[in-house]
Amino acid sequence: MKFKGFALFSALLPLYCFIAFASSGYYRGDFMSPSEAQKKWGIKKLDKSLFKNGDHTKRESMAVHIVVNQLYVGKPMKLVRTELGDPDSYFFSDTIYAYKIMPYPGESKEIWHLVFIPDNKLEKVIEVKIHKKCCYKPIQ
Amino acid sequence: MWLNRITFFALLSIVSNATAADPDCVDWFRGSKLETGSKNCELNCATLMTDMGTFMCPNQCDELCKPKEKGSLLSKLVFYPGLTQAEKELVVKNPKQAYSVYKLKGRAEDATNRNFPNQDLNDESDAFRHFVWAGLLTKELGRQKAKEYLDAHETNPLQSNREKQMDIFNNERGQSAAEALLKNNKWNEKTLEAKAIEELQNKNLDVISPGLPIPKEAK
Repeated sequence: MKFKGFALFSALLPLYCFIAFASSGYYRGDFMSPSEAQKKWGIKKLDKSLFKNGDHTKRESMAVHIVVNQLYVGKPMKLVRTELGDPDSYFFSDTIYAYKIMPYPGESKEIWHLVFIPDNKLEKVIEVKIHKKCCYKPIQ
Repeated sequence: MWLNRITFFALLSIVSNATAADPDCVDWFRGSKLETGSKNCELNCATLMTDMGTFMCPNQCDELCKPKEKGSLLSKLVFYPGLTQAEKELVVKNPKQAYSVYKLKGRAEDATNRNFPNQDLNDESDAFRHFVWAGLLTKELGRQKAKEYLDAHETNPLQSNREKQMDIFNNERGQSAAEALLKNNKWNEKTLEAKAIEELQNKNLDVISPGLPIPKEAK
């Protein structure tokens, strides 16, 4: 019985590895967990007009509030743009809204941005995450 | 974190295969042996025999005749997040080709990161990325096929018309540049990137929000 389980696990291992590789390959780089983000920047209630204003020094702790409370999950993507302004960063595809949340720290230094991942129909927000924009290694 | 990604990926594959048509109508349609995506599918579907349980089905012929996103296992794996509907249809039609398109997207992003460490949206880095991606695709697939993928990407409903206009313009410049480089036997990725930088320096690309420093030469 134990051997059968082990054999099944071994047989499926390459598939697990492939799926893990394929899925992790989509989003290169790291995401910061909400608790880490809160520890790093603190949390401040989202002030939409302040966020929209575009001052990157004031966005970090509001981004934490968005992520911790998953504020826009299930809401229309277009609402994000209406309330938070035009996206000003790039993550993975033009179909994913990304916002800078901190001033540019200089080349090769770590920078994070807030990303809103849409559902399959590109209509609603499925996930909000803080993503490390710099500096992942290129795929060979 | 890995688990999250896998879950998201699996969820995405399931959602991609969802259909909006009524299950009874799906059975009714299957029984007809009509081919989804075929030329006269909708017309033939609309004139199929119905009964009390399926009399509303002809109203769903447009949905039933859409090419279904089932395809091969590879096509499911190539469904990466953020694809437009038009892109998904291309993935189903040719998953291997779509995988190349995905890899070249990564190469264009890497080139952009190298040349523009501080990048925004709608700025010079954005123009550069589109230019390079379009050029790489043109080399790999030829102008027409590459344009299909590029245009499919621009059906993004979340972009403004002005943003689409910018992307389409820069894609076109990238395609033309790649063709010229190939014709003159000067093709390689570095020359394509150098051409993109030159185009930016000469203000030949469309940039909505200019202001990023442009490197003197491709890095």
